[in-house]
Formats: sequence, structure tokens, C-alpha cells
Amino acid sequence: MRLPRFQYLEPKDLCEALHLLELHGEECRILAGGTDLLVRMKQRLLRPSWILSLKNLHELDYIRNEDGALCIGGRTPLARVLSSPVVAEKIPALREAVQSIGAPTIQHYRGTLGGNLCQDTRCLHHNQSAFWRSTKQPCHKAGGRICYAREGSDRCRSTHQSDAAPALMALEARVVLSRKEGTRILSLEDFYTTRGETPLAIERGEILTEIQIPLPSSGSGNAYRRIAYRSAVDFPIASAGVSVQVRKGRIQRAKIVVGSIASAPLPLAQAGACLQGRPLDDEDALERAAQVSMDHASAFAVDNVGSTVEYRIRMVSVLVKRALKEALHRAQSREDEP
Amino acid sequence: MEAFTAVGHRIPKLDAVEKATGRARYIQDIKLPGMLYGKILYSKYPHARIVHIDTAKARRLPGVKAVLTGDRIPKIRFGFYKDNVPLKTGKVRSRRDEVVAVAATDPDIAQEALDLIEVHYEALPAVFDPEEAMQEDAPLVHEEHKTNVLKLPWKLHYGDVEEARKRARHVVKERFRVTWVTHCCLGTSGVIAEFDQSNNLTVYRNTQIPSLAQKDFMDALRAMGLGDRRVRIIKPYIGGAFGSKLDTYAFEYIAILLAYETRRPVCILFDRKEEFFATSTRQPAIIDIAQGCDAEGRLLFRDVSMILDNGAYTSWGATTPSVMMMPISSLYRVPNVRYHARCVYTNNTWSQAMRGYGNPQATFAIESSMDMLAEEAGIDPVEFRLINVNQPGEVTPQGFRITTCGLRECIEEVKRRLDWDGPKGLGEGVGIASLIHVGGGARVYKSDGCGTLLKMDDYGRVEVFTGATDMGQGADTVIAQVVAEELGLRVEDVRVIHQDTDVCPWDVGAHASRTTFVACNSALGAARRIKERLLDLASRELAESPEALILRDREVRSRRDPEKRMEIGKLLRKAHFRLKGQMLMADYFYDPANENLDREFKGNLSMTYTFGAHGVRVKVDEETGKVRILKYVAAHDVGRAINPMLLEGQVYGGALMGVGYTLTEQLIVDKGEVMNPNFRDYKVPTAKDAVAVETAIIETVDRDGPYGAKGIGEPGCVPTAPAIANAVYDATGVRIRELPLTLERVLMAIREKGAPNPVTPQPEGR
Repeated sequence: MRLPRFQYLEPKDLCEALHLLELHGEECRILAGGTDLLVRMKQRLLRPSWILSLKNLHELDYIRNEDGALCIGGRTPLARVLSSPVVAEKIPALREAVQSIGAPTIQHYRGTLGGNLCQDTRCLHHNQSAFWRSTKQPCHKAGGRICYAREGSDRCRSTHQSDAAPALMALEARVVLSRKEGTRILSLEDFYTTRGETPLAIERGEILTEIQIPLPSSGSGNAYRRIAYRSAVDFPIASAGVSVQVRKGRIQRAKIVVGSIASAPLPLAQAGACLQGRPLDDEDALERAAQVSMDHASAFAVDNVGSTVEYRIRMVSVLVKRALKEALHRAQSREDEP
Repeated sequence: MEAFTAVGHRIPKLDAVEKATGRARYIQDIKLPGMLYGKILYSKYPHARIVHIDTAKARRLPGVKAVLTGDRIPKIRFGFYKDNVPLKTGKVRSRRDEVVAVAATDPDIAQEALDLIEVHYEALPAVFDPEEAMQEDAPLVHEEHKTNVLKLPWKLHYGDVEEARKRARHVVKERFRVTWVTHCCLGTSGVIAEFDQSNNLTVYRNTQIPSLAQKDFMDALRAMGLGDRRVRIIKPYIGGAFGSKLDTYAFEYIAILLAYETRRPVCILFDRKEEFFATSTRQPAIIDIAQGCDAEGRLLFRDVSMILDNGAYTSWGATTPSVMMMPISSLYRVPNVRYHARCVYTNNTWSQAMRGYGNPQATFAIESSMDMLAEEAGIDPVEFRLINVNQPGEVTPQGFRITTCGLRECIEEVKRRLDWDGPKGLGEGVGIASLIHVGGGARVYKSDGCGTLLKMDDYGRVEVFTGATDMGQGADTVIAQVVAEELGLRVEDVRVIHQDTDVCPWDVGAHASRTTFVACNSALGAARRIKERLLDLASRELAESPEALILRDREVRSRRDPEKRMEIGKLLRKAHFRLKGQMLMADYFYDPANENLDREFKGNLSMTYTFGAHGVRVKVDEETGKVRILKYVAAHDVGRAINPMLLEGQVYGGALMGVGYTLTEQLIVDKGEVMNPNFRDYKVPTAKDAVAVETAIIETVDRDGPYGAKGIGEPGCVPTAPAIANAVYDATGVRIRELPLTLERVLMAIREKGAPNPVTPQPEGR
């Protein structure tokens, strides 16, 4: 499959990029690695007139510590995130997530963290060639009124399969969206709309320029777990990002986010609440949190990523529990740190 | 005997550098002057009447040179059953049916032209399940055929199965299922067809069957009224085939028709999506198997019946039951055998040859059932197999004459390396499965032959023109090795040419793991003729009897007198540059003395049979159903390893293909439509999923093989699935009867069995 025709823009810096983006508006798509965008274009899911590459925007390639938060530039290559000692030490959940994106080659040569967060939702009934889709009425995602994944659904049920998103949402990360007139900061929970048709709250003229992750304090731990058929080049069919805060043998707070189930990562406050105030070794509480996560997720999953709903829902419980155990283990070992 | 100088050495593939540096030219790299690009419009329905086709807009598009529909082309019928035509008329029978073809000056214009074509269909009731297709009232895929069951004779009965069943102390009976998988060649299919002024046809094609394709295309020319014209097949480098290029397909005939229509070369290249949905798959099958043994564990009978989903058309794939018979009748000693297979038309994609040609499907059922029977009889699975192991000199119920057989050694080697009786960790299990396959050609066609032409230059170098096809497996390299060995040359002195039917002799094709055995025997035959003449020339030059002379290190030398030696190049020049000079050339056609199967499917199909056993140690995550392979041992009786490095590569590649078949790969076909026609959604294992395959080479030195070698192309993927399934059973107590052993399937089986507590905490699976 070949790419459709488009005009290619390669701005020198952010200022020029924002200017060009403003100029071309809706017709312009941002290329930050292209592992998601180019495939969609080949399948004619997108036909932008303009492609704006962030290739030369080295100013968006950084990882730095600012006011208790780790700030990562939007086009920072995944490989750089993997090699960051701070990420390895304090936010292993992000490292675990990035390690599972694409394949080592993609992490090394192409994929960016911003690009991974900005990936579109997927559905086996939509992410197909133009000819394939031409044999059917358009679905919600394609501007129609049908859903092939769940009969009678009044909205698009496509699945957001980013690895980084649930991990970062569990860490209460924020994203900086820049436009010509200025910037705004959104929590990841606000960045993802939960609408399959338009999954990102990014607006016309905006570029995701930075990801801000509050640096976890002592006594905290985080982890990410996912399941897929293969070890590489495979989107997860279910995933879980968690972060916990422990103090004196008890869980003060737990944040649980489930990925690859709905049109956005699912923050599960109720599941997290099951653990509040519980001792670290309270198996029943873990079990409850996993069960609540599973019940909650079951309302969202549809049959559209090549596995069964039943299996994916069950995996939510397994992954949440495994991620929690790992996070608690990490929190415990960091409790005594200053 | 002196040590070999070329045979048995780990020589890298001769084309390795060309390929690794991107210099090798594949079909995608060939551009002929004036070449047009063809594209195919496929059906939008799995089963529908074609009401009307409007191509007017496409014809008017600048750059479009031809638009063809089925009613405008001559009657060309192809496929094993001759039930397929290049462009369909009247109705479509599957989603991959070719409806309209376009040739244009560039691929984008051709694509645009397809978008401008309007086809009106009237949907017909379709049938996707072979068992439903066998019902009386099922929609007919081919009306003229009256039924969906193909009239193929796959039925045999040796001995008396019913009587043996009565005598059997232990009997097991089970149903297994296997689904569609595809070859995943890195090099997608492609063709360029070109006519000269006299309407002689040249076809560039990455094919495994140059000689048979030549014949198919000659038949097509006859249908086009060009029956007396010549056909030449040119093979560029082939980026993998695995059976996918073992037949001629609609797109090849379409390219020929478009080239004839436009008087220009026409190129059709499959993109990856087409490669997934328009290339034929491995056969899906429903397999019922019963086996029984006596109190001592000796097999008494094997009773197998199968339903194969043929899809909408019939390629050579419909003959896979003729290979499935081989393990069914002859894997282990089993005196009473019954087999019945029915191939059924459906509106699904249709199947074709794929590495192992039915053997992996049949062996999955047989070897899974062997473990069940062993358990029933209370015998260790390895012990049970050794009780029934094939032995040299035996004749199997199908009439296969086993010459060399290293199956016992293979099984024992696997047992040892796997530490079969050793301790197992939590969730761990071990499994084993064996294989039999043809190893000395296979007479599936009227001839199983391969020709060789050999010529020597003035400097001691040799060109070998062979009928064999190197599709990545390394045929060129092993042919060069045996010729070098025979003539006392170095491997780099030998050039193997196989790309062109105008210069290369006939060969039946690169199938049935036959190339090393048949093509090397053929090359050896030619080399021996040259050798005889070289020794004759040398005996006169050196005044030494030919029997005392040997060829070695580019020299002819006397065994008796070290002073009597001459460089081979010098000898050749002396013969050439004189009055009535001569140059050395030789031809040889080798056709193994194997037999076509008779009406009862009996006959010694192959000159020799190859055996092997694979063993795995797995760890099953009982919470997720994930199967992890901790150790993989593949032991093969190969006769002789002509090139151990390439041989290990074949085994490694085969085993990994088998791992994909077992654990993750499946074409998701929903109402005839392939839902995952790409590498993202079709789960072929990645480099990160690769397991370290430990190869054990057992050399039995077969009397008929070239330097004792047997074929090894396919065996590597044959016993993988049952070995893994048996290990999963050992680890979890659940028997998975359907491939692939997906996460969902394994977990569901574990839960159905009723794990004591499915949410028991486990050591962290990092």
C-alpha cells in the first residue's frame, strides 16, 4: 500500500511549526515518528493535505527535572526515555510501558513519547484498507451511524491501545499543549475524551509539547503490566498502570488505570479506594480491587481487538493485581528513602 | 576414506552477501522498458451474482491501457480441479475472487482506475462451515458440481481396523481442529509477462515450479489461440515461498492477458494485504482420530477421518490428504490403518501447499492422540513411542520401504537433552512428538526428476545449470558443495544457474523436501561424467591409470606417486588448445526410483524417509494462559548434513514457523473475510518471540542420498504443535485440541478443568 499524496512541511523550530499549523489547520497532521500516522494514511483512514514533521524540533527532545516534576519533551524518542536513570529509578511504570511499545527498532529509530500518547483508537472493523471498508456502510468512526463491534451502539467503541497512557495517567501526569497564542496544561484524564470518534482533546493548531510527571515521593511505587500475543509489534489487549503510596505498613493511596479496554485509559477510583488504609499484605483487599477493576472494565470492552471480551476482562483483574503487587513491593523498598 | 573438503562444511549461503547488502534483485526490482502495472479488483462479496460491471470511467482515465473483465477473455481454466478462471463471470464465490483487471502506466493510476469501476452484485446465500456445506440444502459453491463435496478419492483401509479395535486393550478417540495460517514470505508474489513480436511469452515470476508453470502457461496460450508459441520462465531471487508459489494463480494469467492486450510488458505485484488475503493458506481441517494399543503398548490400529475446508476453488492444496496419509499410515509401526478425507467447497479463501503439505495438521492429531493413549495405557510417552518406533528395513502398511531410520536415536537424544525425567518447576511441563516425511523425493507427479547441465571453462571453474529452484533455502549452495567435492574444486569455483527455463533443464519443482536429494543427485550424475573424462585426460598426461588418480584441491594427483600431479585448469587448457581440441560438458537427468501411489494409495512414494523428534519444556502461566517455551530440542535424522549451517537454519526456521502455527498465528476469517491481513494483526512471531532451538543432527548416511543426505526442508515444522500441546498437558493437565493454543483457549481450558483456585498468587511473571 502506498501513501496518498500530501505536502510535506519540515519547520525548523516550534515557533515556525505552530505558525504553519495555524495556517493549515484541519488539513494538517503532525508527524512525530509516524508509526501510527503513516499506517493510517496508507489505509486511507486519514488523507491530510499537509504533513508537518517535528523532526527538526530538537527543542522538544529533553528529559529534565523541574519543580518536583519530570518534564519530557513531546518528541523525545522512546529510546531516550528508556535510557533515563530518573525514569528507571522513580517511574519504572513508564519504563515498563515504553519497553513494550512496538519493537526495539521502533523505540530506537522512530517512536516518540508524545506520538504514543497521541495515537488514535483502533478497531478491527475500522483499521482496514479502503477497499475493505468500501464493502460496508460507514461506522461511527467514519462518520456513519453504525457500530460493527457492538450491535446497536450509539457511539464509536474503538479501543485506545497506548502503553504509555495508562502508566502515565496512574502517575497523574499532565500534558502541555502549545499553540501560537500560548499553552494550556491538561491532566491526562482530561486529555483523553473517552469518545471513540475523537479520542484526544487536542485542538486545531495545537502540538503536544511536553509531558509532566509529578515525581513520586518516598514510600511510593508504581508499575505497569500488559498482555499481548507477542513480545513485540503487538498492541496490548489489556493493560494496567498503578501507583501506590504506602506509609508504616499501610496503603495510603492507590491509583489504578486500566488500558486497552475502552476508548480512553480507564481510571478506576473505586478500585483504588478498596486499598486505602489496608495493610500491604492484605490479599483480600488486593483481590477486591482486582474484582472491582474487572467489573468496571466489563462495561466498556467490546470485541474489536482480536481477542474475546471475556478474556480481556479477566486479564484486567490479573494485571491489576500483578501491577499492584509490584508497585507495593517497590514502594516498600523505597519507604525509608529521604 | 579421506575427509571431505566441501561436503559437511559450514559454508555460508553463496548469495548471503548479495542479499544482506540489498544487491539481490527480486521481482519487485525488475523494470522492463515500457512496462505497465496491472491491478486487480476483487469481489466485495463472499458469494454473489455479478449483475453488471461498468468500466467506462476507468477506461477513460488517462494512463489506463487496458481493462479486462471475465467475458472478454478466452476460456482459460486452471487449478488442480480446473475449477478456476482468471476473471470470474456470472458469479463470485469468495472475497478473493478476481473480477476486473486494469493495466496502466503507473501503479497509482491503475489503483485510481479500480476505484472508478462499478460492479453491481446480487448477494447469494453463502456457506462458511464445511460441515454445513455438506448438508443437503447448503448453498452450492459450484452449481455444475451438484454437491459441495469434491469428488476426490481420499480413502484407504489397510488391515482390519474394526477387528483390531476389538482386540485393543486401550483405545482413545478425539476430535482435533486446525485453522488457516499463511506463509508470511518476506518477498510478496509478483509477475511480469511480456510477449515478443512473434507472440512468444516470457514470464518473470518468483515461482517454485518453473517447469510446471511453463506448461500451465503453454496451456493458457493454447486457449488464447497461440498454441505453437514458446514460453520462457525467468526466476528472479525469491524471498521465501514455503509452498505459496507451488501453483499458478489467477494474477499470473491476468498479467499474461493484459500483456497480450496491450502489447507491453505488464507487472502485477502483490502488496502485503493481497499477500495475506489473496495467497492461499494452509488447509483448515476437522480431524477425528481413534487409536488403540494392546496391553504392552503396541499400536494395533489408527482410524482417522477428516473434513477439509477446500474454500471456493481447488489448487494442489486439495491433494494434501495424499501426504497426510504418510504419517497416518507410517508414523510408528501400526498394522491396521483407515483414513478417509473429504474436501468441501465453501465460500472461504482457498488453500494451497504450505511447508509440510498436510503433515503438520495430521501429526498434530496423531501425536496428541499418542500421548493420550500412552496415558491411558499407563506408559511414559517417550517409552510408548520407543515401543512403536519405526525401524530400518521395515515396509509400512502403505508400502513405504524404510531404508535408514534414526527415529529411535532422535527420540532418545531429545529425552536426554530435555532432561525428560528431571525435576520440573512450578507450571512447567515437557512434551515430545515425532515425524516422518519424504526424504528422497516424492513421486506426486508423473516424473520426480531434475536435470543438470554442467560445463567447465579453461581455468578449472564450472557452471552448473540446474532445474532446481533456490527460494532462500540454500539449494544453490549445497549443489555447489557436492559438485566441488566430486570434482576436487573449491565451492567458489562452482556457479549454479537456475533462473531461466531457456537454459536450465526440467525439474518438477521445489516441493516435498526433495531439492537436496534429487537436484544434488542429478548434479552429482553430471559431475561424475565430467570427472571420468578429467581422469581419462589426466591419465594420459600423467601416464597413470585413472583408478590411481584423485581430484582434490584443484588438482588431479596420483595416490601412488606424489610427483604425478597437475592443476585441473592446466589439464583443461591442454585438452582444449590443440588440434581437435575438446571442452568438457555433461548432462544428466536424475529421476529417483520412487513410485506413484496406486489406486489403494500404496507405493514407495519416496526413495528414503526422514525422521525426527522435537521436545519442548514449557512454562504455563495459569492465570493468563500464556505458554512460554523454556527449551526446544529438535533432533533430525538427516542422512548426512551436507551443510550443517544451512541444515540448522532449515530446522530453526521450520521450528519457529511451527511455534507460530502452534501458539499465535491464525487468519481471522469472518464470513469469508480476512480480518487481519497485516503483520500487526496477524501474529507471526517476532524476533523477540524467537526461541533458541537446539538442533541435534543424527547422521544415518542413506545409501541413495547424495553423500547420504535426505531432505530437510519441511520436517522442522511438522512435530512442533503436538510437542508443545503435549508439554502444555504435562504442565497443566489440559488437552488443547484446537490450534493455535491461544491465550484465551489455554486459559479457558484451565478454568474449565477447575484449577483449585484460579486467582492463587503466583511468582511475579516479569
